[in-house]
Amino acid sequence: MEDYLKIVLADDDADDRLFFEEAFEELKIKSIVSTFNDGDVLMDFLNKEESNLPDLLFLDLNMPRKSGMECLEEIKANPKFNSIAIAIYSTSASDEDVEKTFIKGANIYIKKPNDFEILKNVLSEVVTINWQYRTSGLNKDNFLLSL
Amino acid sequence: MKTLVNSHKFLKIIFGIGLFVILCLGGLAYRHIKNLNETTKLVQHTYEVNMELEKMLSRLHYAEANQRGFILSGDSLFLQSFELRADNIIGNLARLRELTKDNTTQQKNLDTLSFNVVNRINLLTETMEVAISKDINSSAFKTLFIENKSHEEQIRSKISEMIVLENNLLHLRKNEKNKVLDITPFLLYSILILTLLLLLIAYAKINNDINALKATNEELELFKNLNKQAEIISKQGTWVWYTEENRSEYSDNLYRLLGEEPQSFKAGRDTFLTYVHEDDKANLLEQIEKMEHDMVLPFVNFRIIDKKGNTKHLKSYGELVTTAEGDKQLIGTTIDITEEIKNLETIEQRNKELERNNKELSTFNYVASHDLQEPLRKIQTFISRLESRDKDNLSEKGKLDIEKIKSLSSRMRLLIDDLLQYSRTTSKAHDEFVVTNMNMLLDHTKDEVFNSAEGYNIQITSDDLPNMKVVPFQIQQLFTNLLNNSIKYRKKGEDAIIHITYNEVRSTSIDVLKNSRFKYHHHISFKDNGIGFDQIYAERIFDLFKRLHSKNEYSGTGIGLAICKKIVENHNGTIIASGQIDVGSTFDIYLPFIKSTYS
Repeated sequence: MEDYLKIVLADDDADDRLFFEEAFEELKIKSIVSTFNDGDVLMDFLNKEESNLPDLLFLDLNMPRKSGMECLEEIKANPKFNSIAIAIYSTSASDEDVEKTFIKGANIYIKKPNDFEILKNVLSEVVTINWQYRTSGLNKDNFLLSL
Repeated sequence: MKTLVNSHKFLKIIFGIGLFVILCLGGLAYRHIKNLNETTKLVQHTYEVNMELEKMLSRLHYAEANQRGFILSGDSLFLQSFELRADNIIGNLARLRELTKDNTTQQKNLDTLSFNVVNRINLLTETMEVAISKDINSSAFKTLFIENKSHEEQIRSKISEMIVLENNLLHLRKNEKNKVLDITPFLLYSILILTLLLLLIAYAKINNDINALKATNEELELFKNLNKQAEIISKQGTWVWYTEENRSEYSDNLYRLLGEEPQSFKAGRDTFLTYVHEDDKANLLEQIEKMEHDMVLPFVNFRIIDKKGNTKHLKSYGELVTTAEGDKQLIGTTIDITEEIKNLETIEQRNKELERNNKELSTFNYVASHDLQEPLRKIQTFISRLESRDKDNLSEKGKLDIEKIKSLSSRMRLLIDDLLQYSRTTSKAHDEFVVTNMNMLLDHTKDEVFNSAEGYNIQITSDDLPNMKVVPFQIQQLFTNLLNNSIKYRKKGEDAIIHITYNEVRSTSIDVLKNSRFKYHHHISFKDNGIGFDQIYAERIFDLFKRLHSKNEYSGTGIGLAICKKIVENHNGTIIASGQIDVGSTFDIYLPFIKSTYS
């Protein structure tokens, strides 16, 4: 299990969670995908499972109770979560949201695609990114993933 | 006012001079009459002296006649008469001495005369005595008689001398006085004329002043009436508080503001307070008391309930003035601001409504951008899954249906995106105008357009554009929409050729800009060789959702040009479309600018 990529998605929309999980199934990437339906549950999980933190976290912004933006703030404020790469995964990509999440330290911004094949391509690209390299050269222009 | 003060001084001077002249006149007249009187006295004096001398002379003759009568007749009756005359002559001499006592020459003459006269009387008496005791024919008598004759001559010549002297003296004095008397009437007359002249000038001046005063009064009356009108029109009233007498006066309109007939009650603080709204009474009273102490009433707002029961909002201001006489008055103005306050309330209410509308609009934006897109995105995703997994199992018609659903949902997405774009353009609150390199914006747009071109050629020529103060992303959107519009409606089988030209225009030279408050406009023109349109649609082309072609012929939402118009309007500009079917369309954009800023 060591070389399995640990991937977590927090999204309140059941359909999106379904698309997400099925896309990874079809992609046949060695990964463990866990999903949470709001920010509260996600943060509880992260705080409990300190030894089993995800490699990659997908955050929906618009969630009940604790929003993706709040989760992002909490994670970035806590040094023990430094190793987690964070991808914003949202329906819209308004300039304001993109700017805010970039400043707060997210690693990439993905606008949910409206085609399942494209979704698979996007997710495949994201998990294969060399995060170390990307983070060092990150800037505002390549922050929003263009397809 | 100053001329009046000056003329007041002038009048005082005139009257002073007049009074002085009259006083002088009086003095002169007095002197003149006194002179006249003195002259008369002098003449009388001379006549008296002469008369006395003549009398004495005639008495001497008479005495001599008596003496001779006595000598001839020896009748004592003559002697008695002679003695009487002699006494009378002595009396004459005494009177003459009295009359000439202030004239030493005449006194000396009189001394001689007296001596002669006394001698003569003595001689006459002696002659008589000789005549009685001796014979008339005696030599002693004859000698005496002749001596008498020479005496008489002496006396006569002396008297003549005295009369001449007296007459000369009279003449001399008369001349002396006459000199003064001759000038006096002329002097009197000329001074009289002068005084009359002064009085005339003073009269003219007074008349003038009265006229000026009248005119000023009329003007003042006019102002008063105008002020009354102004008070009614502007819903103002004025008041005066005479501090020393503790008496107040209200203007007519202040009464009207209270709903009362003008001057229908005695003005005063306590009466006024009965009209004031209960909630404002305490504050106003405090302000008035402060005013009575500080002698100034700062702006104070309060409500009143007028006679008819209407609530009015009033505002007062007062200031202390000191009159020229040193009286202190606090004058003030009270104005009805009910309408202003009502308007303010209306504006506030409208602002709140607007705010609410804006909030609703941004909520709508969010709903459109997020909530509407989400189900659509999922529909599209599900269809893509369905297509990739089960396409082979579907009938031909089923495959066609899927294609239809796909294209419909794409169109739905396009509509939502465009609508969102339009609403973002409409709410321009956060957009900042910055001086922008327009050539760079245009180049960006051109790149975008060229990148998306597939299966056709585009040729774009453009003039050099100056820098302009615009909202960059909006102008880029404008360029994109216009270029896309030209490309979309290009003629089939031909290259899309677009000419972008620029020139600076004076607002007065273009019909549609005639009423602009700006003097200059940038004119950017997009001219294409596309299918064009009928000129009758030139205005409707910019309406939201307005399309000139069916969706099957040309895709589109009918929002693109509406966005263009909105953007140009956001920049206070004008956009005009003109077209000719099968020849092409031209879009003229006019953006106002202030020349000095960047040239």
